[in-house]
Amino acid sequence: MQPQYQMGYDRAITVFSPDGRLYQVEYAREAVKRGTTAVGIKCNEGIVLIVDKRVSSRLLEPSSIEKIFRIDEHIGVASSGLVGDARALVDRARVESQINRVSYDEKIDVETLAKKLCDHMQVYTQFGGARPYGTALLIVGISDGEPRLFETDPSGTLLEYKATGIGTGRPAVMKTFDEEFDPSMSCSDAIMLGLKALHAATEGKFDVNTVEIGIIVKEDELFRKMGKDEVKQYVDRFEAE
Amino acid sequence: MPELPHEIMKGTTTIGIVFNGGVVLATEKRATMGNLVASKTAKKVYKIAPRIGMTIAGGVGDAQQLARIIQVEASLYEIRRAKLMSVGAVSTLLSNYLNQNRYYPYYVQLLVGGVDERGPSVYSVDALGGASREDDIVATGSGSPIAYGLLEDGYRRGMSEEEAIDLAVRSLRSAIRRDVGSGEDINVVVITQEKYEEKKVPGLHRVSPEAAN
Repeated sequence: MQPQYQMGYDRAITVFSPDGRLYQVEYAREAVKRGTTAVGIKCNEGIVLIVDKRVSSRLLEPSSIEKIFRIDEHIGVASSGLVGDARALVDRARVESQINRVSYDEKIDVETLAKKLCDHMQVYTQFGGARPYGTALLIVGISDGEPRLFETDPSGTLLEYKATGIGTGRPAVMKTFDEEFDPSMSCSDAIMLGLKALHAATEGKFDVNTVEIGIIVKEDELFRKMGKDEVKQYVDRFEAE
Repeated sequence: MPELPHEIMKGTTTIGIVFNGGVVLATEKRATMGNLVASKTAKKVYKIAPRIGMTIAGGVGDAQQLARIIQVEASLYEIRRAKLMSVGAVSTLLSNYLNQNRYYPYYVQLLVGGVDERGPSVYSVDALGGASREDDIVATGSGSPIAYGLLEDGYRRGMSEEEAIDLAVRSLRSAIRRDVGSGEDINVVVITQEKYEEKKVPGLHRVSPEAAN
């Protein structure tokens, strides 16, 4: 029998296909497309992150699913895609933030951190022996008094948005934001808009246990995740409207 | 850990003064090798970033190498982050670098001064990485005890640029007169939000009678 030397262009990440595509990177993007929906919205006072945790069983403790992470006091991220990959990136982000404090005695800029993470992700689209991260991140924070919202994907692309979403529900989320986003709205209005977008993206399948909210405002520049009681207020208000 | 040679940080006077809106970094220009005046035109203030300067005392080669490294770091910081490095960041980075090299140290005593978003500031950095922010005046080198006499007496908060330059020059002239390690002319760097200005001022020779005090 003739040995098979022919290899597909989708096996090694370092190999371009004849039409200039890196299939492994595209597959990684596909992992994100199947991930839970996360949205980020800039508002007049700061910036909010909302994620749908998609609790798949009533036996599952919802609090054990974590998709919003505090990186440093002034930065938070929301993830979509492979949770394990996201946690690895989050740990890296936390370490980079602390390295900046040790090296320069300064808080890291949101943009600097986002670029560092993207540089790292890019490496896994170019060198063999490993696979790309199957994760997209929304990186939010305040630098020089300004709210920043960055979106990353497995290729290492970095984009800044006024409002955006990642994961399964991205098309529905972007449609909602396209129609209704207003940069002058308050943070509570932004949360309402985010819940509306999430509602559209998940076909209404969310409640207080499946929603996670993170927020940072210009006033104190401290990122925090909302407690269940606070999330409940917004979800109740949303359901009442 | 090896002892620092006794000669280190001798044979120089450098001064940093914070005034209203900026800093003055001033040095004399003598470089010595033991009892020999090796140079009468030594450069002891280096520009690190558009609004940050660094004075050096100690081993010339070590200090120049350090200045080059930190200039490169400041340039990379600026181009990667699209913002200028702060004075505190430069000092902290230097401090880390010096401390990492503490078992084979750079023989230097540095002043890092400049203006950033938080206003003017001067930091004193030693060979092992000890860095401290000085609120008003600081001097290093063998002539510093002499310079400090005038600085302590003449400094007050909220001085103007001209007053700060005058105080720095008079302090350095005292050090030049009474410290054998310090001499020749004077280099003054003035840094404000608007400028990084370097000028040469006469030491003791060619001093006009009224400036000689």
